[in-house]
Amino acid sequence: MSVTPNVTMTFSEEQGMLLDVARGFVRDKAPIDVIRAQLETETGFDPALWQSMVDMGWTGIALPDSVGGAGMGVGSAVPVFESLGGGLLGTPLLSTTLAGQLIWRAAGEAAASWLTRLCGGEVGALALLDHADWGAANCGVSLGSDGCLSGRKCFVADAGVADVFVVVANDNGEPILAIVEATALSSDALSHNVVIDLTKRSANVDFTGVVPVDILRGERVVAALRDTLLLGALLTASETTGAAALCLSGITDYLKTRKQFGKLIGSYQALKHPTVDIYVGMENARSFIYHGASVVDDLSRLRRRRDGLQDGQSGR
Amino acid sequence: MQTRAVKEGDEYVVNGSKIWTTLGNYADHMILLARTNTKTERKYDGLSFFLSPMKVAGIEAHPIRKVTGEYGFNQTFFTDARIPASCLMGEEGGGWTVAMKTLEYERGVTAGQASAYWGVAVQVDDMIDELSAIEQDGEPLLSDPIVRDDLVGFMMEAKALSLAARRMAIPALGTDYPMGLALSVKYRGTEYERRMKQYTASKQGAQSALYVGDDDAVSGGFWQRAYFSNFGATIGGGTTQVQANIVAEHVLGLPK
Repeated sequence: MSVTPNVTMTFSEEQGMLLDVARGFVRDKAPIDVIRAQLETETGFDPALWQSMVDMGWTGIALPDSVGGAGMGVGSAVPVFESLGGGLLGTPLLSTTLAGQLIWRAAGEAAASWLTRLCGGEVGALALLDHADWGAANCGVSLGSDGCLSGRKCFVADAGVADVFVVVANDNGEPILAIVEATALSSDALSHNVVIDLTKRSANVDFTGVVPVDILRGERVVAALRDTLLLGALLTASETTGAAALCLSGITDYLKTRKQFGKLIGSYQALKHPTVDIYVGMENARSFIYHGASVVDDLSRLRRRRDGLQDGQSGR
Repeated sequence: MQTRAVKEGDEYVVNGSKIWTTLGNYADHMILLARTNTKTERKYDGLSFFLSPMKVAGIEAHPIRKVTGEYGFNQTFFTDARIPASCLMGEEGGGWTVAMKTLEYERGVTAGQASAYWGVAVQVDDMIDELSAIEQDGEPLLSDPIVRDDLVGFMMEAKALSLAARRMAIPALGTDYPMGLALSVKYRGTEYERRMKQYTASKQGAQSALYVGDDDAVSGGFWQRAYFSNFGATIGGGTTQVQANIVAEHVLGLPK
């Protein structure tokens, strides 16, 4: 059996159009001086820019049309996130997309009202982590018999601008998704994180005493969470691959203009060779995200493999 | 370029020697780049490209033993060897251009290797199978989390190479560096294979030191030989460092 048999690589006309549009959008609407101007602001992004992204339908690319989306699948979101990363454009699109995917996968059309709101531009946030430790079970926030949540979540991306939180919680040991509206949070519920990525915003959020406006439960919740973690990995990788490509072009521009002792520094092998390794790494990452985009809308194979691994079988 | 070819009537008379003639002791013909003019302003303009017969008087190929213990390369000696003038390819004095074009094929997508290196394709699965049989302190080697981490790295590199080959067929997925994947194939592939084989040999404990010919060598010394052989692939057709320069200059546009 081979560990590398699946090398599916497809690229649809729709994805090609999204890639062109998204690159053009970043080039025209979010040049680096616009990005820099947002670094010091509280939210990190310009609401007008966000509204243009909503108007283009990007908040619903991966959601079905029955709930207000475009029905193009998560694979089609990959070129958009790559392009946004390529402009260092930090908006709540990743959080909103993942919140939408989690709700859709856990509840389907029963949750259409929430999904329609997210497609329409309300910001969704995923409250997932209870601890800094990634390996820990993340159901520390619990739902009490009084209908109130207790506990807090760490590093909730875009918590400061979210309209809707999807909170992973437990109800007497059963994993549930609690939907919380931002208006239900107390004024001191958020403590903002200082993160190294100046284009991103996140906060620890205390949900103690909050009554969820909706609860999603049932056997699909756990599978939906697992799938959403995979999708999050792919879309985050897409964004960072775009950012890596931007860094590479920054490096090569500098090597082509900076002189020392009258010579362009890019002519020295000591700088050329590491730059080539960065290039190769970037291309490898790009191959992986487009492979991911090609297979992500049919997760059945990955699920079989993952479930087999959890049963202690060989993952090969 | 010292080997001389001097035209006499409808023949060239060749004197000198060439090294690294691939399979020259078996070959009927060889590519021969020789100096036909010693007085040109640019030294390249004095070179000519021949498709020379090898089974003629005055041409002798001497096999060279490689570090792997195998043969394949030769040193070829020319002593007043007479070859037909019709063997000249292109113009006399235009040999450098023909040779560079020929090397493009060796360095590009169809990168070749002397002594039938590509005869045995070694996959990352072969590495995992080999390492699955090895124990370390009474435990399976593969239960070592560091080894597992390393293996995942190799698996990802192998997959990245396969995926890149697929991606090259979709130009829309490589618009910012259009020739990049093609021009970096040899750089990416040969260095990955060398490290993969070195790793597999290095995990055989004290037996890592055994080579082909020792009965106790793991898998008959296959990995040790594959590792040494792979060094050839990182050198022949342009060394890894030359390949990196090609990518830097022709893909990233860095100055020469």
